[in-house]
Amino acid sequence: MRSRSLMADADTTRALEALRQHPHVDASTIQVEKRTDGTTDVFASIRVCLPVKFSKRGFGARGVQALEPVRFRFPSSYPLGPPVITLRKDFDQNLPHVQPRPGEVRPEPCLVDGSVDELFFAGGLATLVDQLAQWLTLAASDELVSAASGWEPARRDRNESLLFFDSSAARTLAEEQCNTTFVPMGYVELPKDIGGTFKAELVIQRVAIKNRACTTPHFKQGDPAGTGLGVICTPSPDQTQNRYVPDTVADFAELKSYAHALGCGESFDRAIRVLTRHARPSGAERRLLSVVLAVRRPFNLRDSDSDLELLCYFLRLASKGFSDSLPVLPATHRDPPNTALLARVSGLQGGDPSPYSVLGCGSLGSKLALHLSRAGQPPVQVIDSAPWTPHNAARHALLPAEEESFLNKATLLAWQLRKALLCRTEGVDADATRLLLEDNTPLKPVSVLVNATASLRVRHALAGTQQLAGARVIETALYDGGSSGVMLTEGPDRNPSTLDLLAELYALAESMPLLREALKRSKHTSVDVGAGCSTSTMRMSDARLSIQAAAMAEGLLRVIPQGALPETGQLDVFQTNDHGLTRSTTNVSASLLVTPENAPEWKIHVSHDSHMAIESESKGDSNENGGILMGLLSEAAKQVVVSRTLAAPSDSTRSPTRFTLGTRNRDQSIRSASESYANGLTWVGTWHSHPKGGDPSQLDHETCGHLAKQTAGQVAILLIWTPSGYRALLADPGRLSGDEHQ
Amino acid sequence: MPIPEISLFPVGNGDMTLLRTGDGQHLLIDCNIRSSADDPDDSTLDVASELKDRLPTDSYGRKYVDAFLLSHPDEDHCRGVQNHFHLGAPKSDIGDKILIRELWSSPIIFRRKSKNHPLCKDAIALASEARRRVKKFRDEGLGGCEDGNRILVLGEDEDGKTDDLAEILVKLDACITSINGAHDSTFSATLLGPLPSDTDEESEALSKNRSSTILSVRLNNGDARAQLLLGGDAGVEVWKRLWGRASLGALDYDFLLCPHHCSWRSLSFDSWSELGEQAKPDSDAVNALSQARDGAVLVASSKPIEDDDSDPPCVRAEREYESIANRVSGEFVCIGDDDAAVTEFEVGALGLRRKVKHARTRGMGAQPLPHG
Repeated sequence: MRSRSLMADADTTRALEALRQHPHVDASTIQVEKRTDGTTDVFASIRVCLPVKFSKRGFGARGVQALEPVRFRFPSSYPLGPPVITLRKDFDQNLPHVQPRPGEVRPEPCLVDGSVDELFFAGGLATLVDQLAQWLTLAASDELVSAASGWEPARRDRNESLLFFDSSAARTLAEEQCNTTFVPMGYVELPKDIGGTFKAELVIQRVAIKNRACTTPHFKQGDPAGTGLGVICTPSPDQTQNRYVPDTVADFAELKSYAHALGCGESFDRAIRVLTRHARPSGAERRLLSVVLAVRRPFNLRDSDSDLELLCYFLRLASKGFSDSLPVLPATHRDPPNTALLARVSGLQGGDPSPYSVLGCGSLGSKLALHLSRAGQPPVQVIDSAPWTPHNAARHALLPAEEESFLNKATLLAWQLRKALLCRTEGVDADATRLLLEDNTPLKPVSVLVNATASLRVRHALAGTQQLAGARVIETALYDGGSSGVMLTEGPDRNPSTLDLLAELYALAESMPLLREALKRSKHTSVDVGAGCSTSTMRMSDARLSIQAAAMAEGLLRVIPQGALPETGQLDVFQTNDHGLTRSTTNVSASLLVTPENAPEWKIHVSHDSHMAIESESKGDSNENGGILMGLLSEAAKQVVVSRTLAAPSDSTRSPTRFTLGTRNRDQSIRSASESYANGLTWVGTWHSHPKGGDPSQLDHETCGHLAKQTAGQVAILLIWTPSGYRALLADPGRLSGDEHQ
Repeated sequence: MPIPEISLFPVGNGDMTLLRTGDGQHLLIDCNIRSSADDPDDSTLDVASELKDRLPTDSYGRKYVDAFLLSHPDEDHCRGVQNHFHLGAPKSDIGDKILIRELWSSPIIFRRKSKNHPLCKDAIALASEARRRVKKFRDEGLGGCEDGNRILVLGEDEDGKTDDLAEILVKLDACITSINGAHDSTFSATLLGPLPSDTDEESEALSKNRSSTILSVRLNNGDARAQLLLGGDAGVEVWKRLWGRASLGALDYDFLLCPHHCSWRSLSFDSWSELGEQAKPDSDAVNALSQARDGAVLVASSKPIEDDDSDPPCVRAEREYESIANRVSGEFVCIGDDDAAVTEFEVGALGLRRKVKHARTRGMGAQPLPHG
């Protein structure tokens, strides 16, 4: 105990020294008083920077003196906590930024927008005194509220009840109506043992007060919950209230006079007249009424873009109506979690967001939707046909109650977003492929469709569909137990498409060995999820999946809220490692689209990279030239994606009228290239040049026919470079006549 | 909206004053960055860093002042300009130098100064920069005057040399309400000097009497305002004449930068070192510098003032200014008394006041706050 007391003395001495040396502390005024409860009071005067014009009289606005006496009450635990700083008893309490301290005679200045404890630990005692000097200096210029800092909401010394409503909707109503508006209210009364006050929610939609269904409460005495009525009183025109006055309203008479003082008197009186006439309660009914005074301030409220301050109260009407002594409870307003609030808290600026939907509500899709919704950017629709099953609990964003298990995932996700975040997301229980290829009527128009299905079928259906009406697809997928993730963002007019971007991903793997190995390793395994039942999934922890989902959601948040989709295609690769996650982004230019002359329903997508390679070998060469094409095929989408070229075998021959592709090491080089492209790219055909232009030759058509017989039932292409553009033929086993088949 | 501020850098006997307007524009008046202030091993306050800390950065990453005014080309008013400011045609990369978006310069002051004294190298560099900017204007008009090329010419030069510069010329007694080509609703400055000379004798007298640009600056914060009288090193002859010609209220101030680092030579024709207490102040000059409003602040940008026969700063001048301050319950402040920090004032909702000084803790107070 002795050592503790010595420590305390050393701490106190150090604190006193900090005060003595502070430029705003008049060291000659410091007095110390040890108290029996272990706390220590230090009295000192603070030098205030008065406006110079008041130097003569020695005090500034609100009677703030050039030397203000203050008390620092150091807790016995100091320096584990800051001293409580209070002002002299007769300091003007009608100032903003004074802590509500019921029963305390010395006002306590509110020194920081946040925690005094944190400020103390960040900067020490001197920083508290810095803030105190600043506070007093601003008080002396009557500047504790200013346009720069925003209007400070009226201080209340008792704030127990909570009133939820959408403040921007209420303000819009107040601005438009310039009148009195009644709105429906639902509420619960909290039990006496936790304060016995109310928690209510207003629905900001106007109701006619003559409608008794709205005004008659379903609530009887003793019921814990019910419906009531809210009234929004608007300011009379030209009524701007410049003076900050703490709110001490406790009964009806005070509320009425406060409403008049704040410029809402006319509207308030009208509300009371209407209520008295139409909504008189009878018998045991006790109606709960909430009153919202919308007070016009000279500038915007702190951290707000509105100059209307909303002051809320509860009144519990008895049968005798509005007597002056009717008790009034102040209520704290809270915005329900609307998208604007969520976007603000997430640090997003307002913009013109791209509406989007999410295909696939599995682990990744649900987390993306939740991350974006929590940032105030909910999807228009979430789409999935699968039900929730218990093994989803390992990684899914939702943890449904037992009775909700086995419901459709999209329905569950949308329901959760609507309930908890007040989003308007719609859940669609449907098979994505069917929606894309057969009946798209349930799909709402969007700018972006996020494909988080990790389904090859959906990927190919998306590549082939014409039903997206201008929407661009962003595909998200995880590989190799989440060690790698990719996000493929289509370019304008879906060029490059997700298939083009996927081919580019495989091509990139050549120079990214970790990605290459991850892609090669990536596979699903069968996991036992019940008797006689297993599921094919990828084994990875929720934490690993969440790292990837969070990084992808951040990527989406860079484009969706501002409607700022990239001007090219974009390929993001996310790789987790021992240190966290790295992201590499590649911009992918649009592909050249070529229609084979013998198969107009097919499309050949020639990547920018391949085009440059072909052009550099062909342009200016009088001989025909050629080589091998590597890429992807999609029979479902009728597309051939050419991603990279391989050099022609060494035994190829070139002349001004003919190019013959050799065979030396041809198959080996294709195999080895395919290997370096993580086995994602395969041989899709050949190219050659016609330096003098012209249509595909008879020989080309013949070669095409031969080729079709040798491709094991898959298509291949003959791509022909000419100075005026590409021509192409499709070698399609599907077009061989019966004779040719043999 | 930023709050208007006046920052006075401790630069010994010299001037370096930064004004920030309520529109957030920065006007630097004079600069005296001594080599000791640039020397990291010297305890002299690093005023160049203090200045940069207060300046905004443009989209190229350049620190800039919206305007720089040289009150007159003495070394203690422009020392360090070449080292710390970009001179010459503006370019996107100026390293860690400061861009002067608009230069405020008075040709007549340069002329009077160079008539009797050689210019220091920083003054020569500024004169050449002013000529470059004026040429740019003559060649290309206002269209060629983007940030870093703009110039405002304060006062008409002799022999009609500035007659073709009407668009960038501020005549005597005219009011400046734009900085760097942008109207600033919170700022106005009336040009009170340099005074013109009708005869060679007058010209000679003014040349010898430390001609300076003299501005009466008003900084507004809403309805509140502060009036600043800034007169460089102007000597007694100048103040005497100003008292004779100034209109009522033109010399009123809430803030006075005591001319020539609290020199007796701005208040009296007598020599303090020779006559001591026998030296008499000139009543007109004293009147010109006595138009203090209630609570006015009179600042000496000088070394600490000793009770001896040195001048400037001069203890006799200090007494004179203190008596002016006392009459209005104001304050006389010598920057040199606290040369470890920048002395700052601001214009609050009720007018001029000192800015709160923060305790000098060892790097505390800036710990990053985590979020959980």
